[in-house]
Amino acid sequence: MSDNSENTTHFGYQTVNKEEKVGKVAEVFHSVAAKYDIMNDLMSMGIHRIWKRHTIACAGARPGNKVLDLAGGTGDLTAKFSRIVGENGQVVLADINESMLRVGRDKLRDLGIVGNVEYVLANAEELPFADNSFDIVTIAFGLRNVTDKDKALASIYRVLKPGGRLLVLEFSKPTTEGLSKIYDWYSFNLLPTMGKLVTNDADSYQYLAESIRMHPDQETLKSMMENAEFEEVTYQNLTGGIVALHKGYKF
Amino acid sequence: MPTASLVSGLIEHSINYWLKTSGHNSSAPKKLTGKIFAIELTDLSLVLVMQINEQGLLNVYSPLEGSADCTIKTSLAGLQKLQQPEQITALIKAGEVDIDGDVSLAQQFSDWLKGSLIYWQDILASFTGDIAAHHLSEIAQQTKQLASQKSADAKRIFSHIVWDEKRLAPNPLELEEFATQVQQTRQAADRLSAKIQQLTQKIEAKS
Repeated sequence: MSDNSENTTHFGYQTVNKEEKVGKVAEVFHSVAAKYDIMNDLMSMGIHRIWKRHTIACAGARPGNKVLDLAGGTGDLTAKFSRIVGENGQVVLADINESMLRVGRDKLRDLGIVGNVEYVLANAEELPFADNSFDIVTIAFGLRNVTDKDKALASIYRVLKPGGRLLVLEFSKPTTEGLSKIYDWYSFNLLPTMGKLVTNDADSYQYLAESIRMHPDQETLKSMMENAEFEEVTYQNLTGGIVALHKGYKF
Repeated sequence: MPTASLVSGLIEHSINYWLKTSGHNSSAPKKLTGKIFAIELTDLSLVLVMQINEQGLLNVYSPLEGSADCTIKTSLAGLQKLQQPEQITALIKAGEVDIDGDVSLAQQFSDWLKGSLIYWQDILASFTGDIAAHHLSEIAQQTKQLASQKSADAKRIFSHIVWDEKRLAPNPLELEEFATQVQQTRQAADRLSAKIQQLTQKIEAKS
């Protein structure tokens, strides 16, 4: 059945057809969109805010820049970028999931962030933007859910301006054994329970824990980025490698 | 380092809360909007990147990526000394402060931030009501007065011990007296040497 492996991919620990994954991921996010922010705060005990803040600092955005916040979901990064790039800059919040995009748009408008933000329903594998159009592309906790990651990286590379940079903030492999054990116990026991209590949806959070384990580790993702022609690729482990921030340039 | 992000987040939230409550954000100088200031505290190995956005609020980040419009590299103590603008040159010469970029921008930025402090009574009143705020600010003022009086007292007592009681150092009056005496002695010596020279010349002329 070796032919079959080309048409399949993983959805958490299950193996599914590639066409199916998009639908299944969409289902997960349709289901959690409304309570996405609360769950993020609960699950990470607020630490996700620090990770995102660090990502913003490392992005080095300047007034007038054009930024793509890919898989931006509920717009945490977009909100901050919008304030940095100012009225001459532009931030595009793109997500493949309509529910998430709608929650994000409502949230940002309620915060009074309008004018330099655009919302685009887009697939990371086939970005609907012209070549060389962004100074910065970020994808925070999104690459994991993309079916064909290599295709997505190539597509991001295409839309980046020469000199632009990509930042990938994503769950990764903890660097120490002890932390890894605690983390495993936490994500397979507590996480689905929390998900059940808050969103009444344990399956989606089971998927979250599984998809994190199936995501490539630091070095693998680095080489994937290098294969997509990114240069000077580096990564930094945050909170003991639970999350890693990868950075690469297009020259 | 994520710890720096935590610190910068706390600073950003507290300053912005302050600016919003005082309404000082609406008076942010347009010239400063979007400019990037970096403060590098060498003893904490912490870099704070600050930027005023269009709402007049601050974005605070760490670390610094790329370049800033004005970078100030100093220690915590140096930062405190920077409060007196007349000391800046001396601090730079002493190597305590390193400034790169447009200093006048940084000056305007800190003046604007400090300007918000005059609203502190208003902000206090918004929590406690006017009467309590008035009492609190009065107490604060009295405490401040008392503290400065105490410190003046302490100084006086200390100098009293040093000058009069233990006699560890000469009293300024004594010092002055001593200086006058030294001067008088020197003048006398000068007069004497002039006299001697005069006499010597006389003797030489006769012989």
